[in-house]
Amino acid sequence: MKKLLILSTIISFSIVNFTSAGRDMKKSFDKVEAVELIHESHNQNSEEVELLKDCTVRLDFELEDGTTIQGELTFVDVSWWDCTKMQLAAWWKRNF
Amino acid sequence: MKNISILIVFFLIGNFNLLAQSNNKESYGKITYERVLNFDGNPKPTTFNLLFNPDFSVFYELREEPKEEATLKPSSDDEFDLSFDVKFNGSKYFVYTDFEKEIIQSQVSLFKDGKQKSYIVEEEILKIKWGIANEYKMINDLKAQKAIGSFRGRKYIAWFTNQIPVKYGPWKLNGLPGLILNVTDESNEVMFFVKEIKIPFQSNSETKNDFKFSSDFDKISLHEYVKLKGEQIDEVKKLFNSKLPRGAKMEMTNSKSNDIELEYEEKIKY
Repeated sequence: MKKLLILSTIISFSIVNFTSAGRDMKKSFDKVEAVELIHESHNQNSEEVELLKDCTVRLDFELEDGTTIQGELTFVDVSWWDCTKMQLAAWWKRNF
Repeated sequence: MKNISILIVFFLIGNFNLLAQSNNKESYGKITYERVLNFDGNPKPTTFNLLFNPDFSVFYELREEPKEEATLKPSSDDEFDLSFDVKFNGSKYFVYTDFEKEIIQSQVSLFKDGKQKSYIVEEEILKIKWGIANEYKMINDLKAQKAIGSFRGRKYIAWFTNQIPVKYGPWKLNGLPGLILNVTDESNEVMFFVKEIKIPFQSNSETKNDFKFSSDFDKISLHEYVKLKGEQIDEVKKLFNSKLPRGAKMEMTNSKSNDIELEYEEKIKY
């Protein structure tokens, strides 16, 4: 009987502990989920802002025979960073 | 009788000397011109030399090393603008006019398949029908006479001098009884002004080597060149397309070109 009492006490203690741990874990998951959601939402927002940008590259180049060609290249749906990269690439590209 | 014989001998010697001079293909003249292209009210001066001997002339650009000029500036919160000039590097633009064969060969560079490519463009000399006016003025201490002629869509007013009796002029403009000193088109978009005259000009071996066409360059007709020139906007678009991020779209707007030659003969038109 004494053994049974000890065994049931241990089992009860374990169940309480397990439940408590599970609740903590759930709490942690909730926290992570919340953090992820906030992060995702932040990304979506920042992407939305960045998608609004048009990237215009003005062309003004002269052929060797004196012909000048002018125009505007507008890149739609690019981020500020992509725009900057393209512009820098275009800048370097002039040297081939 | 003896006196007459002496005179005849002197006359013959004199003529022989003149003949020898005119056949001396090593005797050159060098004229420095400033070309001003004034498209959109933004005059761009460039210095050229015209080197000639009795058989041919070469009109070539005196160019400094290509300069990189680019400005990156935000024009608003949502747009970024980049203005830049595209300069060709490594090649030399020149127009070689062969009066014996009656052809003009120009060495030019264009964009082709995303790269700079040089060509030798060949065309026949187009004889300009000049009308000579009875108007004169002094240019660089030389008496110059007015002439008017049309060339590929532009009406040119030229001032030539009989004091230098050669048929040459800047670029592809020639055929007057004297050297063309200044020439301006009616709309003041294309102008050439004489800056310096060196006659005779002592050439050296380098002079000739400077104008040897590279065998690596493709020879094309003016007809083909006009077609390639018309494709330059698309060629530049190709350059940019290769740098586009995935999913990005590109539009070409407000494109226009300003040409010295506004129209071509039927066989050249594309």
